[in-house]
Amino acid sequence: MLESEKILKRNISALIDFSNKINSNLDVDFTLRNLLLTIFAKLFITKGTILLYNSKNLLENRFSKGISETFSEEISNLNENDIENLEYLYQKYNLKFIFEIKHSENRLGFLILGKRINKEQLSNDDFDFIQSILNIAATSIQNSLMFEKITSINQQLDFKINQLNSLFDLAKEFSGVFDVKLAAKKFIYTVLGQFLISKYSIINCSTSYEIIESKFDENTIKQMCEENREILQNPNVLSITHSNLKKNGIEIAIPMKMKDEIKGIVFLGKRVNGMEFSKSDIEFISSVASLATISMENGRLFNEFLEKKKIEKDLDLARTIQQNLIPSNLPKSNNFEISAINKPAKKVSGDYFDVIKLIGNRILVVIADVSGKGMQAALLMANLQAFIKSLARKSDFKIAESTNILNDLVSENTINGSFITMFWGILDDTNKTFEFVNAGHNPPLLIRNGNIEKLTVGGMILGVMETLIPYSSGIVQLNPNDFLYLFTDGITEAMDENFIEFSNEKFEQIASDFNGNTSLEAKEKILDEVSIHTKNVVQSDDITLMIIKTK
Amino acid sequence: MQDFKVELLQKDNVQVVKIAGILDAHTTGELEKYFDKLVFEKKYHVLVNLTELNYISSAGLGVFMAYVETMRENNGDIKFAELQDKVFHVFDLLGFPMLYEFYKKEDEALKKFIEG
Repeated sequence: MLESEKILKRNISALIDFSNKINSNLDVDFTLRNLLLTIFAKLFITKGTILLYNSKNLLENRFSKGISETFSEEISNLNENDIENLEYLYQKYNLKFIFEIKHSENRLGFLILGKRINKEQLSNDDFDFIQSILNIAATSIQNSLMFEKITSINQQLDFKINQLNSLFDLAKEFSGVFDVKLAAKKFIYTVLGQFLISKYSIINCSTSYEIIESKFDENTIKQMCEENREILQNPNVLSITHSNLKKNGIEIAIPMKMKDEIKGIVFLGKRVNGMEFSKSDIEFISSVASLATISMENGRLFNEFLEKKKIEKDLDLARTIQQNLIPSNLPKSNNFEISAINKPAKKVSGDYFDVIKLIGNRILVVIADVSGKGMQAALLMANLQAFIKSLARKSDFKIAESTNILNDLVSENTINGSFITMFWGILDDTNKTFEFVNAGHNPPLLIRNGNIEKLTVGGMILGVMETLIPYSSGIVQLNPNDFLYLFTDGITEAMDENFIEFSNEKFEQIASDFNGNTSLEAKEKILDEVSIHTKNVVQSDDITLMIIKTK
Repeated sequence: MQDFKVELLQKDNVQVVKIAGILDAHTTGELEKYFDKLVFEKKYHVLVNLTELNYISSAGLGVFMAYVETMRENNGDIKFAELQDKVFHVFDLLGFPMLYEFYKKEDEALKKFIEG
């Protein structure tokens, strides 16, 4: 066999060996290593590099042996038109040979080699060999690069799918969440996990800047919000986060917008893996943020709704308490005949009346108006009744003295300036006297033969301050056919369509003109007149009326 | 909280958090409570065993991000062990292996904690 045939045979077997090795895999690094090492071995070369164009069409050192790093750096910015610079550079670094790696008409990169150990030039056979091996390698490199690209696209796709899944996960989740903090939490966790972030703040901007949740220092964030109000109010500036925020470690700030109003802001710290937020990342976070915003807004509305429901329930309960405090049966007596009514308005206020049998053939009658509305008024009224009931158990119950005690008790137990106007008195069933105290209440009327006497003796309203000036009591001797009218301002101040009050005058007129026989009739008369007056008008205040006729 | 369970065990000075079922936006709140408890009790060596975890969403991963700094600032760590392939795929996709240690077996992770 001729020497040239031997060389040819050796070359072919090396090529076949190389081809077998590289065609069975898609790892570009494997291919490049084999390519370079095969050439080194065959041609006695110890230095070389393989440069490939990356996705941005810039040259990149993909595999090298014995080449200085500065060379890799210097070539890394060369694009496909910079061949001259490349030639200059490889010579500068004392490299000897350069070959183009081509697939069809595509230039994939270059193979650059150092000098041979034996200092010989490359023969034509050597050039042929390199050209052949590069042709074989090019196909494999092209395939591997394709594979790399597809793998990377697949990964991006997987990442996108994961983002979408997160969005669906959250959307599903948010639909059942009405708690603002919970919604914010779910939102922020998704973003942290998706982008490897460990520092964040969620700020509520509806009225002032309120930190809902923060892993940044809260004081720093609060101060920063205050100092950068203008920046925080401009969503356009927010999306390209302002340097004032960045110096506090905030990488991006995402506004949570409802329509055009910024309801909240999410501050995010750096990604722990050092990557930047891409445009599509910010878009993703923004869409999660708007999902969360809608959810939080729902939460707020839901809370408002609950609050309203709670108030309504509170009112219902107060009304029930109030109704249970009003006696349904009035005690009977020998000399007096009593009729009473309490008509609560829709809103609960605090009218109260009571008729209680005392020890020693006496009857205590009470009418009162508690200030305030709702639960507070109902509870104060319940307290008042409890105080009265316990005072009334005493065998030596005295009306003026008891009023002093009652005022002290009420004063100690009221808050927010609540007070009570009250009139009470003792009907003595033996000698038909009526001893009373008026604590700032509308004076009851004593009607005798068409004449009116107003029962005003007493003292100040209950609950304003402790008893400094003792209450005084008045006493009247009752005669048969005397009528006592006890009432609250719900009657005299009842308004007609033109906002004209029923008035004291009209009430007194009707009372003094009354010529019926029973307290029941007297009561019906007043109620009829009031309802005529307030025709077509919704009752705005409680109406309470008690009429006592002396038999 | 159907299909979701957290179990807390102590092995040496390492807290083993075993999470089973589905960890998504719905169940993160539950896991958060356990981590709050660990931080409150100053237990910073946390080994998360996910052998029975069938699904994890980004919100689930977010919990680990939210607590890892606290653990590390206190010379502790959060390490993971015994992940199912499909679960690891999600961790991998979002780049967690760059920041956290993952182990095939709980014992290996425990050893790592003990050796420091």
